[in-house]
Amino acid sequence: MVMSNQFYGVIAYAMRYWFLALTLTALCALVGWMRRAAVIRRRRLAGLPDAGMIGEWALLDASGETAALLPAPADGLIGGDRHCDVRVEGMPRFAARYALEKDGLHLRPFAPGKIAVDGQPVQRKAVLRHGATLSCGGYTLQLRLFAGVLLKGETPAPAAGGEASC
Amino acid sequence: MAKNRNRKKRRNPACPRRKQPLRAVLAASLLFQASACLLLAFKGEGIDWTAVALAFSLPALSWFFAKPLCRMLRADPLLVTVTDFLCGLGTVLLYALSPATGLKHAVHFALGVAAFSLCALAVRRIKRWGVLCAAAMPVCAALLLLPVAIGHEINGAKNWIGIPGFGSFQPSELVKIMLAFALAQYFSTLRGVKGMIPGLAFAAVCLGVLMLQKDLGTALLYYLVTLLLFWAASSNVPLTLAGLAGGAGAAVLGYKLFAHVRTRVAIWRNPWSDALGKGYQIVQALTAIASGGLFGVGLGMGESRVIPAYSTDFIFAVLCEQMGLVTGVLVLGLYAIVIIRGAGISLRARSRFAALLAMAATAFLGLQTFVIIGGVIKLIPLTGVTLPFLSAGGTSMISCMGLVGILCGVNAATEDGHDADEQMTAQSAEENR
Repeated sequence: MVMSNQFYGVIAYAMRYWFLALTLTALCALVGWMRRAAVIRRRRLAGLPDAGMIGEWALLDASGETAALLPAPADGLIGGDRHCDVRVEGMPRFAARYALEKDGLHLRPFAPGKIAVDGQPVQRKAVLRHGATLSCGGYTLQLRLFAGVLLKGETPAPAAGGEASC
Repeated sequence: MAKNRNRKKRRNPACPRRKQPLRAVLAASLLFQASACLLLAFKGEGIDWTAVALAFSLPALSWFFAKPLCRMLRADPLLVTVTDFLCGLGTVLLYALSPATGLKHAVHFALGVAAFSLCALAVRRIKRWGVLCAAAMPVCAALLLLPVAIGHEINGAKNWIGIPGFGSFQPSELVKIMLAFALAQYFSTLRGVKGMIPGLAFAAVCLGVLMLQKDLGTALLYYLVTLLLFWAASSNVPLTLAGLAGGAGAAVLGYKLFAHVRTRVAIWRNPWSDALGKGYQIVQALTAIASGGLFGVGLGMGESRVIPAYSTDFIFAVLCEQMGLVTGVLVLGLYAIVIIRGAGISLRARSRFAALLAMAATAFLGLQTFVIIGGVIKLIPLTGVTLPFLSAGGTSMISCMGLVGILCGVNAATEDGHDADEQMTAQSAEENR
């Protein structure tokens, strides 16, 4: 079928609305999809209050009792600044940064010797496991990892009352 | 009548509500590609059977990318369908200009899907990026230096390497992906600014080589992404401002030292001052955009071929001429969705490395889109970068698809983490019963 240039021009001119409609449909569907996905994600995370967290930092008072519990993300900054992931008012602005590795929480202080882990001053790096304490600026934090966070050398605890059903 | 009303209200239980947007977007994309190719099949004298074949093969490739492959890789279906749409749009636009270019773009789309899969799998599976980055950085620096040594100059920039029998490729497009990994790896270190030095050094070497090649557009991208990532990783405002000042100083120095930079700025300020000479490209692009009006002159119509580099740098002007300003704005909306989605993936990532990697990929795509479209519409001086997914160019397509693959890989890793959290929560609830 041979189409003259003029005829093609008319068809192409008419079909530009078709292509526009398809592009508009795609864009509107995508925007609606993004909004719906955001709602679904919020609902999902509402049921997972500890999503992305590996445990808690327990702020201990002078008698060793837990004064407050702070969520512990897998990696972050500890300090008094509002940008810190683990914020303790009164601590130095940026005390240390940490990240979870296979063998434990690797912690690096911003200033050598200002932080102590289990009573030992940290110069460059320390590795923390469940129950380790971190002291800085008169405050003491204890690391409490969730049961599902398994470090190298640890075995999962047996489930209470037999195996859990899937 | 009441029976019909009830039938409309009932939703197909096999099609849950969450799958409907995917089907709508995919259907629009496939219909767009098929109808555009079929239209182009009747453009010349006789039926162009290649276009007819493309009307089936291109939607098939798009469907494969958006459905089975996306599901296999656990990729973000929203991001994949937008990318699909843009790649299909690029193919039909380029086919309308030159069938050979359009076919090449379709082949590059297929190669891009492979690059996407590779990057998505690599992000999800490879855990130790430190060793890989340390090994790859010198190789990438050497790759960037190759065009300076043995490359050939195209449009004033010596950033191409020709491979006999295959064509040419641009190493800076591929090194872009490695730069994203290197910056994410070294900027996610716990050792502060000192730990970032290897990443900064690599970026500086790349910038230096790109300046030697006179590839200012890519150098601008590398610089902006490095600066953005540095600020995101360190929150060190004074150093970031120092970097910004350094970049501004380098720009001023470049303006004073290099004549082609002065020309670009002069043409940006007033292209009509030399409309038939140095300003010809911009003048033709602006004229094409204006002549397309709101709805365009029709696919395959218009005089886009008078614009120099119409299939690469000025493809947006071609889009506006043939499909209109309204479609052009809608396409900008699609790019905005890619950037917003990428930013969301970065914010939701579960580790510093993943967050910075996703941010780097999003920044590359977003800044590249802004730089080239801004240059075409005379918002900023023109630089020679391609429009992601639309412009002709195999290496550009592969690198852009690789960046989208990175985003999908990070998203899949985040989803894996959420699934693990849900499992732990369910187990813990079971144990507490």
